Amino acid sequence: MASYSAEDDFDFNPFYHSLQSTIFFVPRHSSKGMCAFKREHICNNFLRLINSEYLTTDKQGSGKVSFGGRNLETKEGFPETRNAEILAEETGYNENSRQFRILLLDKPLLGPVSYLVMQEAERKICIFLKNYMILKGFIEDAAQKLNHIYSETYQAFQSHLRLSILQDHRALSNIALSLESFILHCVHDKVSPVLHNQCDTKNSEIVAKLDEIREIPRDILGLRSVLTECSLKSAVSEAMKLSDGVTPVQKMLCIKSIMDKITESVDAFLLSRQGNTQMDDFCLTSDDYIPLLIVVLAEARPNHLASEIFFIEHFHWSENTKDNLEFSFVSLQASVHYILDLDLQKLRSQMKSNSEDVHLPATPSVAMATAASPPKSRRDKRLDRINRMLDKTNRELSLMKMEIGSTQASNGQTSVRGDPILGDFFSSLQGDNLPSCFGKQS
Amino acid sequence: MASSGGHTFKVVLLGEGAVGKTSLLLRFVENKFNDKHLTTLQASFLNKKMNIGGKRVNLAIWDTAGQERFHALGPIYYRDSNGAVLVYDITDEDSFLKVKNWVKELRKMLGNEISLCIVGNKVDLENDRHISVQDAESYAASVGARHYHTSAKLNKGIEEMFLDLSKSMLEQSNTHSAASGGSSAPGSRGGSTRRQVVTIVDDDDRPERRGCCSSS
Repeated sequence: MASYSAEDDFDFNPFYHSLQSTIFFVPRHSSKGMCAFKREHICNNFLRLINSEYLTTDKQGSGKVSFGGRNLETKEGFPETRNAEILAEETGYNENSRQFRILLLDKPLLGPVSYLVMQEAERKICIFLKNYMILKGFIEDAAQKLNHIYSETYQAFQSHLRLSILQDHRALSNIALSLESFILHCVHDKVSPVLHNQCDTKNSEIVAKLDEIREIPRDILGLRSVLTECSLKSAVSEAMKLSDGVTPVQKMLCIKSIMDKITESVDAFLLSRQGNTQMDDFCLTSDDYIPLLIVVLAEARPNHLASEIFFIEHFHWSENTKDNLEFSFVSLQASVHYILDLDLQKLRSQMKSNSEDVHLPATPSVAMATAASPPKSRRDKRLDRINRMLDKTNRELSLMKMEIGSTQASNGQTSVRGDPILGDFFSSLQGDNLPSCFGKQS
Repeated sequence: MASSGGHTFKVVLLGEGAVGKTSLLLRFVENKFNDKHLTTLQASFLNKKMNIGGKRVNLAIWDTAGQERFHALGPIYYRDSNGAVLVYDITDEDSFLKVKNWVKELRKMLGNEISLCIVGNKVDLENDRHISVQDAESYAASVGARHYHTSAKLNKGIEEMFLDLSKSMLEQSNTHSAASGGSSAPGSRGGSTRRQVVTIVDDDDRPERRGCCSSS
């Protein structure tokens, strides 16, 4: 039960001060909806006694109120039935010395629209929390249910907004984000455990992969050679905070912050190595961010990465899909997909072959080259084409030699180096040890 | 999405590694090419605001990873795109083949709602051209895309390409709004399943896979 306190004295009540004339009801100072009263709200707080019924003094005069003991209840003419408790009573006199009563109520009879809309949203969320059971495997249904509450509340807001606000995308976006965050704050404790439970296997799979990735050198993971020694500590500590956020927006801001810290770390690292000509025009592209994010995740080892992604995918309803926050989230998604698809066995083989053939130009397999080589330049591609041509020529030559050898054998001849049958050119080629494969040069 | 009389369009840059996607983006947004920067540039997501025929257009340009090993991640990036700039290097046949693959994939996944621009970059290396102008233009026309020649180095053709793409997306947006009887309520995604990820596998015959975090 609400109780009267010193703070509720009319001397400190802005509603009381704003009226200056005859007052009937005054909502307490700390009650919700105290701010931003419109004229119609004020009129609804004045009552006249007409034919033994108390009616509000607004132009329509349709609001009816009934008294019962220390309570007051709104009847016909109000958008909702509301029970208000009378906390205190004072007597007032108008200019003609006519007496009137001032009642202090624990809440306004008619609050601002936002208050009513939010009250309705709260009611629906309470029902969800009390009655809705979230089962493992059915969390998408819970997301839909909450999305429904979100959509209804958002539409209710929209129907009461001024045209200028309706045309202001940023204002609408802020309303939508606040509403989404409000709902998800309320349901976090109910949704979160089931979400983690549902994504448990995938979370463990990612953590296991990250543990293995930590052992792989950065250059093998695809980082540009100039960045292999870059410290990413600040981004790692940011990534460790990913689970701290309660709402999708908080988590997305955290992901954006990880990306920003990566950029800052690279920037600081390159500055510390000034003088290297490679660094003058350095741009971080998506080709860089994905391996950098993988390195950060491997260091931070977040336990619920799959849950976090699932949560944002299914519970973030409000924001548009084109901004920087979304791009950061998509980069994280892409990195996690890449982590899950990564063939660690191949990377380990590459590590091994790299350590064995330090002094020899390696001839990587196609898969290995695909896994770790940087994008090929035009020069590389030309070299590849030349290599392929030489390879083809080499194979044709071997075939020719085999055919000639078999012909000679059938003729009882022995193959001798510098056989005049082949001519000078092919004879000299016979003596050359053309490499069987030229590999990819970069 | 229209907002306060303006439109925000998502444009995705696709193409093989080293064809000049990032250079095009930086040239268009920041008018830079191989410039010396004071700080490291985050060149994967940039915004560019334009005024076209009295309409405010905001291009949110997403530069994607070009390396072959990241190809399967493409759908995560191009989802919900209004436009795509498919870049090839005029001196590199392979890069043009990659563009053809991207076109095929985009049409399959996003249909005709996405505006496509095929861009032959590095026209400053005209003497080394491997893709004929006629081949490229006839291919673009055959897939309902526009074709442009650009040089990030010489700052040639880039502004024109992005301007035409923006006009095309505006037209597409107007057609879509007219067909749907007005835009959807701002601030609403309209459903939670839109964000789920579908990854493309290179082999056309193999079935599509759901994202790592999708439950089904």
